[in-house]
Amino acid sequence: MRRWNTEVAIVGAGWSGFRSISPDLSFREMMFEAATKAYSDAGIDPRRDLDGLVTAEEDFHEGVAISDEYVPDQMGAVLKSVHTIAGDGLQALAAGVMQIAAGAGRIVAVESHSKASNVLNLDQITALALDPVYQRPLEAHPIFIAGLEFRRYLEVTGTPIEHVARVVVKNRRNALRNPRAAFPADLTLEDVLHSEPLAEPLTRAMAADPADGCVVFVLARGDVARTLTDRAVWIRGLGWATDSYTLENRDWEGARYLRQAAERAYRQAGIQSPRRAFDLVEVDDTFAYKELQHLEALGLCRPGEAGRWTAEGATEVGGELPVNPSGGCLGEGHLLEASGLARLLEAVLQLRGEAGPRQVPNARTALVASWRGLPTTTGAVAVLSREP
Amino acid sequence: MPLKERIPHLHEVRSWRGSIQLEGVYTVGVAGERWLQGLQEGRIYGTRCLRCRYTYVPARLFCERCLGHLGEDAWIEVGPQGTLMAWTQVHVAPDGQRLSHPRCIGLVRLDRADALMVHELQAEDRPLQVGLRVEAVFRSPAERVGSLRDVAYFRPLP
Ligand SMILES: [Zn+2]
Repeated sequence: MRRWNTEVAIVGAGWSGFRSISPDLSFREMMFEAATKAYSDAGIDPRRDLDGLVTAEEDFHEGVAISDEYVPDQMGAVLKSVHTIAGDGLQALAAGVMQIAAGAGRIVAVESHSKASNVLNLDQITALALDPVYQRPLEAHPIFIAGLEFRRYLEVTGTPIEHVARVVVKNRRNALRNPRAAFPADLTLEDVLHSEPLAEPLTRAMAADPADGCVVFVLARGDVARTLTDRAVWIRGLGWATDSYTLENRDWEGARYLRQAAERAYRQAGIQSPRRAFDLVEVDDTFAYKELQHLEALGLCRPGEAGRWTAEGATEVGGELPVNPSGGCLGEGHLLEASGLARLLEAVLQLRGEAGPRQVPNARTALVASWRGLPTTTGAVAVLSREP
Repeated sequence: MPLKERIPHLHEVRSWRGSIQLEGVYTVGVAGERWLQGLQEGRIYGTRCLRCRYTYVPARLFCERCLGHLGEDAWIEVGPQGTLMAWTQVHVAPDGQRLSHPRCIGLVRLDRADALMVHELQAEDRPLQVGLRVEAVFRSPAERVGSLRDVAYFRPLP
């Protein structure tokens, strides 16, 4: 994929939450809160300036059919161009960027949210994503997929399970310095290893709990961005890919979907050696081993190296390459389709120098990578920079 | 933002409960029909793409690698023995409730197949390790209905 003819920047960011439950707000009010913040941050009047809206959501998580019809009102997008992506928020970001690059708009909003606490049977909904003929007859909780893949990861890479537990300790500690985080905690390796088993060797502490929240970004064409703000964050590369969805034919070892997505994003951004290209990384850590597997798929270290790297402290804030300074999904909570945008939000704040006590000094470039969650094989990657 | 007013008690939060019912059938298709009938007969079939040197289980009508058609000559019998690639003790039911007895799920590469199969693994007290030889155990012919569950479980070879 070549570079687009048009530069696109993030000129505004807003959010609501993140919290384990949010009984006081409807999902519309969460979106309204995040959108209002984002538009004010960008200095735009949405009714006048907004050309379009892209959201990411799944009907079953929203609890209504055709949920994409529920979005324009609270976003200031009534009678504007509206698209909904059934996927991760980073895929909605990609759609927004493409609309601007294609000349379909100058200013486009991107939104995704999670009202996971409204869903009373989230586990069963995830189970419904399994193949009805070839997998559902097993009547197994889909967490078995994470258990099998985790085992395979340990086997193939020789990573000690303690290194995986370190991811949880690091991320939930990082979350202590993040006011958005729903699940900050100071845990020990023993706490993580000895929490109750879900799908062995995966323990409860190694799996991100769902949380409620909403994230909104305002995207603008390069020339418009320059007139709006001097804090623009530039999108230098984007990639997304889906592996074979079947359990039988997917790659069980190396998160092939993310490797593909990263290659495309790097090519677009002109990045040759990713390991030295970024000041920080926000990457999907829905399950602790996923952070390690994803770091390797992103080419930031060799297969099997991410665990040792983590154990040596290289991925801490202050280390060689800070990974998930926000606390990741483990610390912030898993925002369903909005998870990728939650990762992106931290990267944007870091590049703007607005990450407060967890600020990575002089951060100029960031890598963001998402996974669409169980049981999918979809990942997306965004390369961000303070310079166009 | 003056959105949030203090709510002193959770029971004062108004909400509406609802559920969605969705009922349907999932047609299994040409390859699925034959594959499930094979299980009923106590055989596991795959389809082999000669161009990609890759064998699909369950058998499919097409190759996802080259998008070629997998016709009559692509059908081969695979298994019932295979190699354990991974396993997990699952402690939660699909509704999220904890199971009183965890169940073991295995990831198996059947002999002569490339695709991996996921199924119940019953190992009694045998220690498990990647590379362990296992075999599919079928239900009795009278119990088979043409479903994935016609294979009762996998077990380690003695
Ligand atoms: Zn082929």
